[in-house]
Amino acid sequence: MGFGGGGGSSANDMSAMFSIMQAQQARDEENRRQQRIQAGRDLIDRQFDLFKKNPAFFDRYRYGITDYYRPQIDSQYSNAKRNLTFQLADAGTLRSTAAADATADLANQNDMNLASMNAKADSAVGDLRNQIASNKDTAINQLMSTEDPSIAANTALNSIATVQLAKPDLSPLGALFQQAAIGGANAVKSWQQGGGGAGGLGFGGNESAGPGGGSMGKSQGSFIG
Amino acid sequence: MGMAAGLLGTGAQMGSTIMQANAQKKAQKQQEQNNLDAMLRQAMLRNQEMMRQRDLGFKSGETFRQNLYDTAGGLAQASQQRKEQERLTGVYGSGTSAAEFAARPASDASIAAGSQRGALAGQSGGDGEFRTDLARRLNNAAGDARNRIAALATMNSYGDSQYGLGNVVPLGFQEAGWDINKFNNFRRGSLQAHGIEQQQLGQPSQTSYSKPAGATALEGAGGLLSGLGKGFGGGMF
Repeated sequence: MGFGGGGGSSANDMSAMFSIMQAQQARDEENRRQQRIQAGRDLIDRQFDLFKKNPAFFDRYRYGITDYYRPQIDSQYSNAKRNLTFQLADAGTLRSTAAADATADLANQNDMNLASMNAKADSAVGDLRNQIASNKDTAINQLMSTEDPSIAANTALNSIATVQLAKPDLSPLGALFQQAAIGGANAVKSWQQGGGGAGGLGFGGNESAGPGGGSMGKSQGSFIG
Repeated sequence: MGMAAGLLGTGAQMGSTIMQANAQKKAQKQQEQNNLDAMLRQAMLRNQEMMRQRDLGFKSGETFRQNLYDTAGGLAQASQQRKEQERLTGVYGSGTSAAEFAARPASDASIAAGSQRGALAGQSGGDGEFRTDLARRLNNAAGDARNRIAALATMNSYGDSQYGLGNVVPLGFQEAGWDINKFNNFRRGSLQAHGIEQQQLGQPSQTSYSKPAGATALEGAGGLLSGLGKGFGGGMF
């Protein structure tokens, strides 16, 4: 090292120039590195902002889930009402207080099953958002490790492709409605099937209020996974 | 003659010594100046780097504060929970808005609507007392479901619903972390460049002392003359 005069030799001057150049080069390279990282971040942000600007993407996912399960719930509700109607008619109690109780109970179960379905679908959208954030996290980590904006952009694009390929767990629904046992024979049958449960309108099964848990109300099976 | 040569030789040697002393003094002063320059450069580089670090640290801290106020802080979380509870109440109520959901039949005035909703086939033809009883029970069931759904919405707004606190708050921390990590990365990189700058520019240049050519010539001449003087002196005496 040597600059600033002193010996005044040309070798010293060269050495001084070399030191200045090295220092300048180090700072310039660091500035360029930071610019590359910032450019990569901007690119990743732009790619993932597409999700924020497109709520329909998430709505479609949610409606896809509810459209898949809703007919099953409606069908099961319809069957449960029909069975209840037959049993009440067989017992001659279609217009009785017990019939009104059983009817109201089915309606309540239907409301809760629909709510549970909507809760599950909404949580699934939350999971999708987390998945997207996780993809973005991967892209950013890759950017920071490579400091190469083009690789980061490819990761962002691939992540988006992965998200679009993600599918919800659409396992079939179990039996959601438990109806009251009407009449002596049906009551005995119900008792035998239910292992001596709490009578015709007993709250058996796996009642759960959480979206990821079992069914709401008096369901026998589980709701959505 | 010999004495004159001896005197001249001594004078030349003295001149050489003086020239060397002057050159050494000049080199020493130059080195002192170099040291001072290096200190000034070090100070300047340190100040520049300190400003960079301070700026990046400020940005990092600002990101942290923003996340705290917008997402993670107590007020932000309470506000987010209320909004999400309101939204979920509507979403869980079969996709209706919270206001519509709350307005669903639950009173005798809307019994007819309620009885149409859940009644079985064949029950519509009953007497008035039965129909009223049925509608009341259906509406009670709907009210019960509404209360449970509202409770479910409240519960999930704290948890893993789409914008529930269980999702929104960690995501807020994650997003803030991305920026904070970026700024920290910049700080590390800048510090490394600063190390090279200090290494290359912060050290004083070394002034090498070399004997002046004039001093060497005088020294040589002085030696020669002194030798001659001794020679002549030896011949005479």
